[in-house]
Amino acid sequence: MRIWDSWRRFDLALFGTAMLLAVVGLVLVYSASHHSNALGHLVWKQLLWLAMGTLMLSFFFIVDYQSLVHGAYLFYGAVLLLLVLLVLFGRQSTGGSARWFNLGLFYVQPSELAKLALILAMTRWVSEHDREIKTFWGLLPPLGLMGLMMGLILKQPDLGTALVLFPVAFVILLVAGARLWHLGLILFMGLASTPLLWHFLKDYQRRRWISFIQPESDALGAGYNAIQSGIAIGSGGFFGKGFLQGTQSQLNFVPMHHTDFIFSVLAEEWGWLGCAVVLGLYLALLLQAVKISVSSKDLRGTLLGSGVVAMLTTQVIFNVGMTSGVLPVTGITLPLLSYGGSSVVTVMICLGILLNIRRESSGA
Amino acid sequence: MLWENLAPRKPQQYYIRLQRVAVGVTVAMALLLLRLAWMQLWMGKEYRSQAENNATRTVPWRAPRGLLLDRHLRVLVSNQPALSLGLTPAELLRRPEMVDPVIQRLASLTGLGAEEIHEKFVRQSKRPFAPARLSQDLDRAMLGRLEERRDQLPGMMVIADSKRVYPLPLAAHVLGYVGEISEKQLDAMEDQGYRMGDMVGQTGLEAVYDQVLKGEDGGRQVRIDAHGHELSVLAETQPRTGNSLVLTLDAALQQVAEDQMGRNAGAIVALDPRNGDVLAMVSKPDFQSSDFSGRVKHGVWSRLLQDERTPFTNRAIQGVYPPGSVFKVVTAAAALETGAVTPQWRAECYGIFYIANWPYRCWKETGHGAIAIEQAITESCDIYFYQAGLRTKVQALHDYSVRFGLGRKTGVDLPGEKAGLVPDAAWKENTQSMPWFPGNTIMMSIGQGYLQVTPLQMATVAAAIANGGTLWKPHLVSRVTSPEGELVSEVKPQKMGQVALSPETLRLIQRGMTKAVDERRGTAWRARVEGVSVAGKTGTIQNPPFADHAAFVAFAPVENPQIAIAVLVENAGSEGGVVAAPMAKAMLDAYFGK
Repeated sequence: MRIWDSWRRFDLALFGTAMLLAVVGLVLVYSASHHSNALGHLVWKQLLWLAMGTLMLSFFFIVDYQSLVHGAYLFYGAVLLLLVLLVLFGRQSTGGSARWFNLGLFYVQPSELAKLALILAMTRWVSEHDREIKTFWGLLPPLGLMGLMMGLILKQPDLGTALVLFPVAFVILLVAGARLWHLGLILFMGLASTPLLWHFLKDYQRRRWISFIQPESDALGAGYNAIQSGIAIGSGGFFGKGFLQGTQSQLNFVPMHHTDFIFSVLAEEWGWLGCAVVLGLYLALLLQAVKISVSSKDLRGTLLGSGVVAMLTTQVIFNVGMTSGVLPVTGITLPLLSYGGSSVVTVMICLGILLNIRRESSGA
Repeated sequence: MLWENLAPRKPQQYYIRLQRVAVGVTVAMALLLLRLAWMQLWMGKEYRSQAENNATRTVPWRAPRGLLLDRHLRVLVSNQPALSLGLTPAELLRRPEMVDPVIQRLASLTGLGAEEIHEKFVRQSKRPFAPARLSQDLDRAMLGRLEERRDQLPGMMVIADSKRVYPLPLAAHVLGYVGEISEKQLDAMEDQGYRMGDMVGQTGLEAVYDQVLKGEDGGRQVRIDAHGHELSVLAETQPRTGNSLVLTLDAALQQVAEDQMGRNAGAIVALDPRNGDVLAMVSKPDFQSSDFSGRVKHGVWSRLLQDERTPFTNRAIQGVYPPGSVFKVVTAAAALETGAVTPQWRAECYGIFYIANWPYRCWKETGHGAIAIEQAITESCDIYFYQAGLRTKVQALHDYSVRFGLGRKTGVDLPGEKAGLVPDAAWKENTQSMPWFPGNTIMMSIGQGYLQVTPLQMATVAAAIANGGTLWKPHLVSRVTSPEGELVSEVKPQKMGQVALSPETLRLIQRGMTKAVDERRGTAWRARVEGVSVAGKTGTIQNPPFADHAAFVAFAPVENPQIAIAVLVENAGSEGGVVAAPMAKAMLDAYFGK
């Protein structure tokens, strides 16, 4: 049977690396939530998300990525519509911004889907126009795809996800052969026009941007998280304080420590050694992903893989950067480690696509 | 090399580019590890001692609210320092066995409920390094008792806050008061930067302009030792004082109006007919705004809420009454403008008027004889207006009422304004399933029956008669200034509408009203002011089975109007000319410096 054939070409190394990270994530989520009655069931929920993610991974492993790329524009359009609806109707006070759709049983965060949609749509456009993107003007349509989505996500405002879209688009374009200085010029022009945009923002939106760019100005909000998370990480030392021994994390001193700030639990309880192991696992995962991109049988697979690599790398850098106080706090999850359904499922889908690319290339 | 089995049909450049990506990823991971090494290995000791001694506390630093000033910059509302009792969850949680005893102890020392303290403590645990405010505005005795037991109360701290003070205790309904943000308000406003324990405007201008007044809170991140002493400041954000409001109110005039209303229940509104400035707005009985600044004393709430005379109601905008004979100016305008009556047309008043065998009486039993519109206004002849109303018909009366702004909110910048009611035949059909009878028109033409207006709307009608038909939107804030007194924004007068009135109509109504004050037979002679020409119209509103309400509207000077007044006294038991007109006179005396 063909399906059985394809499972024989399942890349166990990549999947295994991901599962190791997921197990680390479960341990950390337990550590971050076991003391609280309200959060006590989070490990089970996370396990459920992982199971669901594995299902999605299998699905995307089986379904040929060619058809995904083929349907990319439709998917992109659907996500765009979802984001518009969110801006129009989704006003909720969940952390002050509208990022969620309540589907009864669970919430869906369309900006997670947006990352996926952008990777697919960019891949399709760029692989069909790979000559044009070597010119300056040829870059504008694919960057338009990115800009449109980014604008809607910024409107929520979800700065973190919007910022991830940048490297995703740039890496896909660069791998496809776009000129670095063209992209640099566009980036520069974008930055130069921000004062104009400032004019259209509402007061509270401006304040949010200021505290984003300059967290010290908000000692009570974002800056507070960074200070506490810094203490948690630094006090971990080389070996860490041990499982369930992190005082900062156990006493709830670091807010959101089971989601965005999960890395501070790792660093406090497992020390630099634990961090090195986890970052090593990420590196192994990402290098395998790069390898899969390279050995893909066609340009589409290469670009798709590069997009996934860019997305995962950016999230790791931004998340660890913000927990360790070198980057502003933006609300980006750590792939496979942070608690949360949307994030876990999205990453698993991306891994499924990678496995799919791998399957197709080894079959050739 | 990372990859050996290269697919042969792909050009070389993709490998080179992806190789760069791989190098980039590796370098990024290495840099992150280096950063972590610096924090955990190099700086580890420093961080560890911070974590052990723990560490930090967030000391809130509340922004002073902006001031409220009257039109001559007299201070109506300002701030003074007050101390709040705080409890910081993180500090108390370091000794988990102490949580319950501390909460019990605080409850018995402060008189707050242990339940309430516990709930605030739990809710604050989301931001455990900042204190929950348990009680605001501590008095000295309690502060002493708390300080004495400081060692038994880990996590307790005293926060330097401020509270509202009212140098001139006036216009409580207009100014409103501030109070601690409720859970419901917090849910609705968390987006806009509100937090638990914040003081927010609850009613009046304090509520409407809360965003302007509140400024931006600051705070300090401080390191503390095991005893809760502050060691050093890690980060600091200065608060930004809120902007101030310069009101249109004239404190002196407001004072006169409040004294005049005294212990009556009722409302007074004074407007500038040239722009809609609200010069005075009184509603009695009222409350003391200062009762709500800081800790609300026991019994204040229940006393105010149980008072049958509803002291929280701002009768000037929330009290709806039939306007009574004051409405005759609207009937007159409608009748003249639609041509239903001419200036010369006379009605015969014999003191009683029959329609379909129902008797309708004039207030003057002996009758006014043959009377035309100008004199009918002066003497407030009911029978003239019954007949004029019947000729004008209900739809035109309705339309002109609406043009004068009745039946809809004026849009004044206060919360909870009522629209009132202007009936017509369709309204009665829809709500009561009964046809409109001529008797309804008769009652409506003298401002009785279904009509409902607020005192503010009455004042707006008087202002429109005074200024030739313009409806200015009444407003209480004339400008917003920074804490330093610089202009931030200015409120431009806004037109709500324009009643098209011919010069002839205006002249007749204004003359009728002027003579009501000046003539011996006029109903409003008690509003006479020496040296100033005053126009006025009285009203007495039947309110069976209770005592009549008294109403009066006026404007002055007639040739160049600067002030329009509406007075309503509930259950005055006497006529508008007797009870309400003297109140307006006292205000006009004060306004024109007599």
